[in-house]
Amino acid sequence: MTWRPGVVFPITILISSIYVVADTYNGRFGMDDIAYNPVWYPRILLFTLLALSTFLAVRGLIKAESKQQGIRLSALLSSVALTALFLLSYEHLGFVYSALLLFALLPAALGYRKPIGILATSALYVLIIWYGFHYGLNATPPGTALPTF
Amino acid sequence: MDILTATLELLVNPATLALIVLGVAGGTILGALPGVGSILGITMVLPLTFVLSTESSLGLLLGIYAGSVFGGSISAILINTPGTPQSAITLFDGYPMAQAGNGALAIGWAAVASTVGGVIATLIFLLAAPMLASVGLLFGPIEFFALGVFALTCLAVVSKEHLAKGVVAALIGLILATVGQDPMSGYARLTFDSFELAAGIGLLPLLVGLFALSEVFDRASSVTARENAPAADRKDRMQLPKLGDIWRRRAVLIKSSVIGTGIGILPGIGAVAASTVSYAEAKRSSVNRADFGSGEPDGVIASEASNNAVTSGAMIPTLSLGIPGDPITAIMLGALAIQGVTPGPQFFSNNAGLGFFIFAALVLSCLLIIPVAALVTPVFSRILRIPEPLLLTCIVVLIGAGTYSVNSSGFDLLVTLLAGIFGLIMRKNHYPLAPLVIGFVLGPLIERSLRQGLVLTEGSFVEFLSSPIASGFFLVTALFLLFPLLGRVRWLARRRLKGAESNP
Repeated sequence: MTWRPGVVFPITILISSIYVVADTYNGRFGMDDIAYNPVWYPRILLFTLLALSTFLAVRGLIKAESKQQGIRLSALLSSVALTALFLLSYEHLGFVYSALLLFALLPAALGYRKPIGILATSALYVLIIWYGFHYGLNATPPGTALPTF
Repeated sequence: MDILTATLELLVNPATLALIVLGVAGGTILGALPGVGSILGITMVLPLTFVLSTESSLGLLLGIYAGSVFGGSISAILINTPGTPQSAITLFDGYPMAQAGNGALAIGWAAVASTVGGVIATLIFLLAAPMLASVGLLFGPIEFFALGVFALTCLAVVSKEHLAKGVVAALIGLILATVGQDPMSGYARLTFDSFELAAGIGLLPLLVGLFALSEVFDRASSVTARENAPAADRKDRMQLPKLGDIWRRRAVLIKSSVIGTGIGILPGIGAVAASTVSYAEAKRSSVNRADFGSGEPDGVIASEASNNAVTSGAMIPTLSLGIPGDPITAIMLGALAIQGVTPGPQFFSNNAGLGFFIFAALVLSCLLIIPVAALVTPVFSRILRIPEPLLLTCIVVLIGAGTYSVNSSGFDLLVTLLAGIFGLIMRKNHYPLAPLVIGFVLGPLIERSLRQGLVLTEGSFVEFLSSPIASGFFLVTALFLLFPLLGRVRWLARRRLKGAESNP
């Protein structure tokens, strides 16, 4: 079985470009002089991107690439998922709880399972960052789980 | 004279001074950690610069830049693993020196060479600035457009990957820059009726996501227990070479610094190429050439002087033309844009004070390398023991806190996450990231210049060629694009000829 990862990305760009180009023809924009038409310049870029992504997709079909070695897919997917959880819950849970949740899950998902090390690092680091942002940068992170003096 | 006094006042401001010292120390530590390096270091602290003044944030970033380039040599010398790609050549002679019991001296040579390389390059930068400032005054919209296209082409062409992939990355950056309000008509475009997108995509979340977060994901996919990394000797320290020895090796020091500056000025080539070329030249011209590769200090000097000279050299096209020399200066360009400073041909005429401050901060950062190295080297083995999963978690927390603190916007965190995932996909498919960022940074300038140029020429593209500067840039751009294609045609013709000869 030949590995052709080079096709998926250009095709994704191609489909996205078609979608965005279509949006520029939704009738909201008039047929002003090119210098004043807001979508004239993005269209040039999008059409060039369409042509190049088509070229790369065809090239990817013709030319097989060697399969990438040494990727730990489970570690990659869990790091993306847990980072997404942290960033998307940041505003709702507040800095302290979302960061502690990340410390509880991400190191373990990446193979580090020393609870005392994780606990000590997370407590110290969260405190440093919170107080550093609150006092040093005058930008208090969301949530007020830590006492202020 | 007023500018000089004002710059010195800014530089000796305790807060600015402390940030430069912090930057060099932090950069040295980050550079010494294999795989972390300059890019991650600079993007990680980028959100923090929002609350700082332009000078303080530039001092911090330049300190990290100079420190991290040097820091890579510590791990190259002590554990045979370059902390940054720029220091890969240093290990050829640095590690054999450490094995022979001269590791402390090798770090001393690396620190001296990094300092001298950085200072010489900054002096060249200082001499070039007035000339660049006078050239900048000749630029109008058409010239700016031609320059912007040339800058993007340079970066796409010299990116190590396929030319088309570099151009695709640059186009994506240019398109992302058009999201939001049109600068000339005020219409919202490519927003898909999203309220948040109407204000455009923020440069900072894009930069942090593309470079720092995607790096975290990339490292997570190949994470190894840091405990298994070769441990450095707890008694490691730095020993400075004697002044007489430094004087004896001045030719290699100066030559490598000049080579590094020259290569740094060329867009997109970078420090790895500079240290390779300097090493090859030092070996060719040295009377001790037989000792290269087995612990010759000239090898360490050549590599370190040139890779630190690139730091200042690369700032020349970055500030004077808006063309970054490497991905790190691409991020610096973004950092300047975040601070409301637009690098380009008129940078030195419009921002003489800031330009002078950058020179001074670079020189100071380079001079700080020696004392910082003396402090960091003894604790290096402890730094190296930080388990990678914990390090990556700390980086993600800092990215989240830093990005959110700028606008208190959850949307910025979403952009960071999406940019991180997109950056990871680009890395895995061998698409360069730097052209995307440069496309995004230069996008507004290119679009505005093009459309203003069209207004001036009443819609005629042919009139663009009437400007000698613009014509020159267009010509060089065309040559840059055609060169790889011509090379490919020649290669195919040669292969066909060989095939015909072997099958008569």
